[in-house]
Amino acid sequence: MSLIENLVVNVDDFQLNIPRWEILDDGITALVGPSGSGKSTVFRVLLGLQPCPTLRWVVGGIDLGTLGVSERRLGVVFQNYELFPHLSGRGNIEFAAKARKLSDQDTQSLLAELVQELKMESFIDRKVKLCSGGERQRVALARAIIGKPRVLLLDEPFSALDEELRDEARSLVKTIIKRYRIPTILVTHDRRDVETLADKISEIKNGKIL
Amino acid sequence: MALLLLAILVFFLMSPYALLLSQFSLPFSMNGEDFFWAFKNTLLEALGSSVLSVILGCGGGLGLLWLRRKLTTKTYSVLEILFLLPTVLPSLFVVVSCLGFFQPFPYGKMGVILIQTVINVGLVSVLFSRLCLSKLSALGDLSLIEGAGRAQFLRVGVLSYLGPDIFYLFLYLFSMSMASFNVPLLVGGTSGTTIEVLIYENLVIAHNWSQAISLSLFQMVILGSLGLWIRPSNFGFEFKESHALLELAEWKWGLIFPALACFVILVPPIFSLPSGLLQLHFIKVQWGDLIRPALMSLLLGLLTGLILFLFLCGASIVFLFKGWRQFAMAYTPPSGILMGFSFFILARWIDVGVFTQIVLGLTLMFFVSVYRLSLATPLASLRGQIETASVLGANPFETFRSIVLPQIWQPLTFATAIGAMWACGDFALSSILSSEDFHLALMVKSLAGGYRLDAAQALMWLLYFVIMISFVFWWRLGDVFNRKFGR
Repeated sequence: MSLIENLVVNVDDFQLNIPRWEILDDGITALVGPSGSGKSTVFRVLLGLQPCPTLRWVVGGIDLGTLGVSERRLGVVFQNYELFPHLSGRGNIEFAAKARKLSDQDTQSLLAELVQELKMESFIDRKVKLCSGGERQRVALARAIIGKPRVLLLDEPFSALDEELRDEARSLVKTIIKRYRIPTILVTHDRRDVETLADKISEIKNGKIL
Repeated sequence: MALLLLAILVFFLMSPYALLLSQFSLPFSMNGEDFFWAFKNTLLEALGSSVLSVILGCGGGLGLLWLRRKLTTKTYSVLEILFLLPTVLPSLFVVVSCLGFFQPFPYGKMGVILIQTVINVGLVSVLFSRLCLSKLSALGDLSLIEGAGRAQFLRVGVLSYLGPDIFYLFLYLFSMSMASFNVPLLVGGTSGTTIEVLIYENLVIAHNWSQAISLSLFQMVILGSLGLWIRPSNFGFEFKESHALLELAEWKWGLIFPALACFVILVPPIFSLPSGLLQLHFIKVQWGDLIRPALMSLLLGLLTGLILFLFLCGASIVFLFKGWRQFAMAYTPPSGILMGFSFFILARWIDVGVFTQIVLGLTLMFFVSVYRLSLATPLASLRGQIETASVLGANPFETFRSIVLPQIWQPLTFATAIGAMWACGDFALSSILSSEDFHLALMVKSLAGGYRLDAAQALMWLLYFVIMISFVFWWRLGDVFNRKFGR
């Protein structure tokens, strides 16, 4: 169990105040709430993209709150994936591996494994701007995982997909997370995501976890 | 490393101000009579030209709304670019063309107002038409359906709803005019002397440093305050494509104003070419004498482009720092005279040579403008990707090389090309720092100053050619890199 403490942020008239929030070490912790409840701010603070000097987040004995964005070693899948459109799927994933200074050998073996697990053989060398929504999501997931992150953060990862693709995508994500045993925080407003994926549910409303 | 780069960028950009501030001491030495007279001229010229530009430009904008329905998108875009030429081309071209066109030319305040208006009217037309399309589309359609009259729509929709935007446009032009040095220097005469020109006279002609320093402080405070107040974000709209008709706002006769401004700068130089060549021959300027100045102009454009390119790359690397983004939007570049003055001060300690001073000075003067013009928006659109790369563990340099640069080659080199073009046409900073007419723009300025207008216009064609080479070099470089390394 990792512990998030003193997540306090003031944005204009809105205050986010989470004195204590427990995250599962194994499995998916879902943060659920309506629009404007503060989910996105929590997400950005945990990634280090929004400053929060009071934050304490100890994972494996290391306080991530004191580290810079890249030193936190987190994996992320944003709502719109934020893939690098000029690169292929492989290029996107290799970029993350290189950024985490994985050896070429490790990168290639892990990449091969992910390509197989996520069924990316047919499009891995295609530029991501030419890939479908479902394909992009798989590239984004592989890119987030290849750097062996301490925690994986998913922000509404299925919202950009068509309804009929979502169930398949959810089951794929669940399988991968179980397979690699990465503690995961899922931010969503979709009840179906929670029902299918969450091992623990935290509800946020008006900047506070209920 | 990225923090160090940020510090270097800020240091360079602030260094002219720091150098000037280092020279201030109390009590100030200021000739009150000269100061108030020049300040009054500055205000009158800025006010006159910005009011006139806004009125005529808004008319031009309504004309563009009409024209938009008549032309294909491609032809319309070409016309927009044509209308922007007086603003984008170095002011030397506009000044010399106007001197040739308006005969007798009203030197003094009226002359400055006239030229500033010619420079700005096309810009205001394009901005205003886009503003209408961006903000009035739904309102225009609705008013047409509801049967509103033209006067009612113009009063309620255009004037009332767009009033704050028009006001900010006016303020922007006003601040640009306040900082203008080139135009009043050439056509202000004795009755149109502005603060900028007064600093120049005290510095270069009268060698009265204490007076020049006091005036510079005043000018810095004024320009700094205006810069902090008038930011690009104050324009509360985003340009977006619209298919709305806006028939109620159209006014085809408004096109006359931007079209006339274009005509003034493009057509007379063509007709005066033969007499200009004769005049050059008469004053014994041989083609061989022009090779060195032409090469120096080209070198000035290419080298300033190179340093600008490096600065813009640096700005892209540190883009994720919120402090940098705020600084880049609030920063007011020093005017030509303030930049020249700071190099005079620097020369007391380090002599880097006149040419290097001009290249560095022009880089610092143009950097923020070209950054805002061409690079800030593409970088902002990549912000999500840059943040993602950072979360994934990439350092800013790695992110720039692999993610940002391949996607911004074209805006990056376009910004550089614009800066290089302005550098080729600079005569203001060059004439402060150099006593010799060593490049074409300085020669054109001297000829125009000596009332040899036809010769100046003829020489301007050679300068056009050099500017085109410099512009196309940097612009095409973007295409080449984009094909090779880009997306």
